[in-house]
Amino acid sequence: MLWYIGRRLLQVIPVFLGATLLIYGMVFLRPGDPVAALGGERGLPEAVQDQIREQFHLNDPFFVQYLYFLKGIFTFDLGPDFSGRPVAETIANAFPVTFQLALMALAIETIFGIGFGLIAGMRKGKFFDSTVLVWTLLLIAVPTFVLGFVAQIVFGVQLGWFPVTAGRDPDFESLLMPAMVLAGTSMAYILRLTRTSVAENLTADHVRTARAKGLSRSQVTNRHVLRNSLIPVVTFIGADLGNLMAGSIVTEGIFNINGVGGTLFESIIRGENVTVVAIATILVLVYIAANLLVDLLYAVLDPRIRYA
Amino acid sequence: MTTTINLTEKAPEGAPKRDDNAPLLEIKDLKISFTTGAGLVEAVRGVDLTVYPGQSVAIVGESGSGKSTTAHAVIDLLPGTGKVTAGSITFDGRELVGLDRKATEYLRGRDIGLVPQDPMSNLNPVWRIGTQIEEALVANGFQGTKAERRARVTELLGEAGLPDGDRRALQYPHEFSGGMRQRALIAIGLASRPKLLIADEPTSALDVTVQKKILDHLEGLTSELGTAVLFITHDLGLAAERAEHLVVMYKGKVVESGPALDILKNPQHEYTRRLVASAPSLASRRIQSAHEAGRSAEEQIAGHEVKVDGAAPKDVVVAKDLTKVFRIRGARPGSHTNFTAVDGIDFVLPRGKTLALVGESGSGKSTAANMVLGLLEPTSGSVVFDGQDTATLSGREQFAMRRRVQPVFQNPYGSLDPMYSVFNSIEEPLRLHKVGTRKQREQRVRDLLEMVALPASTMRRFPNELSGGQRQRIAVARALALEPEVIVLDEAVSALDVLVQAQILQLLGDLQGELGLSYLFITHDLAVVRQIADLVAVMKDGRIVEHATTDEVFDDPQQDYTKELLAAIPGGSLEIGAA
Amino acid sequence: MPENRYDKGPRPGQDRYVAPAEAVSVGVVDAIAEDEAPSSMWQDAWREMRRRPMFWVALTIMVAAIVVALFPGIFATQGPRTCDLSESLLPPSGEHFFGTTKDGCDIYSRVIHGARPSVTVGVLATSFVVVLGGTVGAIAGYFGGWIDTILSRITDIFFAIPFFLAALVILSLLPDRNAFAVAVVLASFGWTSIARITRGSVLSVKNNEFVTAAKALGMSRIGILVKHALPNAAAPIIVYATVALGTFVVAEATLTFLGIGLPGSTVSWGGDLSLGRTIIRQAPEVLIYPAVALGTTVLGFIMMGDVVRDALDPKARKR
Repeated sequence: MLWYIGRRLLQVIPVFLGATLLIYGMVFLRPGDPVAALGGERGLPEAVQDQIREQFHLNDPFFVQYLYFLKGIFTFDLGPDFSGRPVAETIANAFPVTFQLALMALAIETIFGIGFGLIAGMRKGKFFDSTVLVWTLLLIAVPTFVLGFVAQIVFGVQLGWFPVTAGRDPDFESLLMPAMVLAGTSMAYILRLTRTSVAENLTADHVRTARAKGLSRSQVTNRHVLRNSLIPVVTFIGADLGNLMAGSIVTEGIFNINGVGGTLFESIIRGENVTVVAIATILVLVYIAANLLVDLLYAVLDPRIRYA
Repeated sequence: MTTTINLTEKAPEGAPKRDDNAPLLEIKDLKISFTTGAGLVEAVRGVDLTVYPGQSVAIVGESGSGKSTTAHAVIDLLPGTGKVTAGSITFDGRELVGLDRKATEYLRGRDIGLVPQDPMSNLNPVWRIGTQIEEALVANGFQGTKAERRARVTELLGEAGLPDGDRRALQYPHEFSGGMRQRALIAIGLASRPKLLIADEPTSALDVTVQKKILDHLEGLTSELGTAVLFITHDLGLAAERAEHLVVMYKGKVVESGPALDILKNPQHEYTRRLVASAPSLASRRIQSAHEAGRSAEEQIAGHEVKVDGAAPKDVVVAKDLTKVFRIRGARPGSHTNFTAVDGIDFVLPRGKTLALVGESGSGKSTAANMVLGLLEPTSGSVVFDGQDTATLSGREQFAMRRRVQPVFQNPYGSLDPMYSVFNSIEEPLRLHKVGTRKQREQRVRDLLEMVALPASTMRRFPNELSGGQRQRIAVARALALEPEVIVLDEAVSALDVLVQAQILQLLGDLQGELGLSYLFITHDLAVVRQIADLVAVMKDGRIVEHATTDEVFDDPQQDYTKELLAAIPGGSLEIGAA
Repeated sequence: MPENRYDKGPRPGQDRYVAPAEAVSVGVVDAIAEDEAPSSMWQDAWREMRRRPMFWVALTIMVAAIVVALFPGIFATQGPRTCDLSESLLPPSGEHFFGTTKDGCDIYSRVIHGARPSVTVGVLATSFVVVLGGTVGAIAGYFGGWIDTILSRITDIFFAIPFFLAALVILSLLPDRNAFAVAVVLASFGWTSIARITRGSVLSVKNNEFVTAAKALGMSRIGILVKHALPNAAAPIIVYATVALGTFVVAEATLTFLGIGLPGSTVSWGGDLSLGRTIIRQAPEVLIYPAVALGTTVLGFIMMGDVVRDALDPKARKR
């Protein structure tokens, strides 16, 4: 078991370095000079430009710049952005709400995706299954932003069930509808994955053995079908947290939430490279951490993994 | 056999007294159908069967005969769309057809236990062995504290032949070998002392020696407990040895039933007769090819005089001190262990003869075959083909050499590319070795199909439309395409039904006589060896323990291991057969 | 021994029974059915699919989307850019089937002309991921060893970066964006799943005995990969690619909606949704038409993916 965890941790390092290097390279190797572009039409005086270049290590080779950046990530001291505001502060302000939103979405997609997926898988081909399947197709086909508008108009404006926008310092209730919208597509995928997995496991030999032992239907489902079926689903959910946080760009825009998505989007538009890279790196870290967690969960769910 | 309980030595009084005269299980005119895309398909078409308390009954049949379906209907575990459409199943005087779910669940495990077929897939990989046995206890009303349950689990494991149950119970299925898993499944099946145990091909996936031990054990256990056993098996020899009453099924119907030995000695129905004649465990003679049958006695005797030394030119394949060591990566980074799969073996395959490499799983026989095929490089030692050491060949020479040695593998479902038509599959070797024009190749494919007794129209078909036996014939045709001298048959008939197996063996014998082929026959099944091989090399743990002519090995085995293998052939103890 | 148990003779119900020969006729062992038409896996799949209404619905949508994307002029005679501000926000009429936008453009013709960029991006991006992901996955799976280790780690790296985020960042850096650029960017971070699927599929095919048989014939590794491993991996790749096409169309629309995908000068569903958003409270229907067009197109592709997967499911096939 310890070796398994150790190996997984070792495997994470190249992924982290590779992914951050890729993002960093993508953003910083762009053509043109970001400093020269500052200050509008006239540009800044040479001396000021040089000072900025020095401050942001722009004169150093690319890899040195990257190492400075890594140091910044781990000390959480990323320096100021071009407008002088500390990048770390911007991120610290934006992250909590997005994290809450993503976790709520994750909870929603997990509970409903697995719940309905289980029922659909148990009744494959029946009415409930077909109905749910059509809904998942719709959820996948309709883009999140369209779903967001529809939800906003119908449930927010017309029915008044939820606040129309979340605004500053949103509470649980005002984040509920955005979280549901954000969770929509992933929930459909989880549902379908669970359904297939459950239907497959139901016909497994060991499930027949369990029934032959005299276990009741619910015992068979809970102890032998569900747990085995969750293994592929857990993998998906682990990879999804990072996607949810990135996907919040759209959802936060619609519901006017001041989170990572909005900050990221603004930074991309304004060319605030440090902020963009920092947020992207944190999302990669979230992905990696979630995946590690999943791997551990995986080892708990499937004893074969522990010795692999 | 010190740890097993042998029924033959047990006094029948050991069984508890029951009302022996009322049937325990009575199946009358049972019909079962499956709904498929093509409509209703009747899998069982009227089966009658009676099992008395404490008795053992066997249903014998090939795949698709409906034997498993019948058995699963008893505990309402028909797969998919299966449904009992007519007839009755009475158990202990109670009708089971149409019984509600709760009552059926109550019955399962408590009154009727099941030992399923494939030990690899029938235990849940995510739960400990002990937990899975405990479930069977709790579900069937075992009252007791946690400690008592644990103790009972240990007891049951010990009873099933797994001592050290405390430790075993905490292990997971993947830590068990196939035989151990099957024992665990037996422990589950018998956990709540059912009156009837359905044993569905309980050992067909296991090595013969393990199979014998487990069956002996099961027999001892059930007779001690007075449990009736309903065996489901494809092996007539096994059925006759283990059951007193036989039911032979074919295409969903009972063709013959009655006392086991009676049926074996005096089969009446045409199908049963064929089955008895083909069963390798009962037949005792080498198949005579049509060609060989016409040869003089001297020639045949001359052929059998083979010396196991040196590379006489008439020996087409000679293995000298052949060794293969695999490096196996350990769980820890950088760690590894060496595993010697084949450990310095010598064998000789004379031209036009059949050498059988016999061994159980893990004996190294397939590794040896792959070295002969040039698919694996020997760690040391050499394969000498027709006087030439294969290790010294250049790339081009090796490519040319491949034409002369061709394989046929075990799995009839994996040996043909499902995307290739039969024509493409057989033509592939010709195309690869640039033989003939397209027209000539097509003619050659026709000829080859004829050789393996398939109509030329088969050419346009795809593997998923063919049965296992037909696929194996195609695989043989493909192997023959380049007119090889040696064919390596790696468990080539092991996955086939008895009658089809006999047919393929006959075909192989005929082809050998006609074309002068030499066969390296890799198998775990000594019974088949007798039908096809001239020479036998028995392998164990990477070494050859005995290498002699087939008659010598069967009539006068020198090694204990060979004797054990021979004794394990199901039905071997029965003094009847085709002879 | 078993003989002893029968000393008392057979019990009731266990008498010797032999079925009459005519009741169960024993045919030729392993007879071949010569009357059935031969069928490959694809033919079987086709027979299975055409029985399902869902297949025909999906096919109709796909064909319609592609035809409209190729020849929008046939379906909409009014140009998508001939707008008349005096005709702002007209309700549907004979002249304007779906009414007009705020700028007085005909919504119907904008919806028709909006199909092309979506379908183009979807088809191009899907082709790129199949080629790139398929190649990486096939090489990793077939050759194994250190090649597999390196390629799999690279795949992991790309997988770790949220697909949508990467697309946003790169596209924001590109000065002029067109459908081709968007497709390349989407593909450059969207190929990982197909690489993993192909790798897994090739790995499972590799262990089949027909591959060993081909090796024994002396076939080269590349030959086996191309002639055996890839054709057998095709089914899962096709299924995934059909669904991926739908998701790429959604991704393009979302990016364009955010103003980072296709430029505003291109008539596209994403762009129109973005424009319609500003007046969503007054005239939600302006938003509805492009949304329905987009949703239906995507639905067509993912439904097709579903149908094809069911039809190619080896467990569902006969024997």
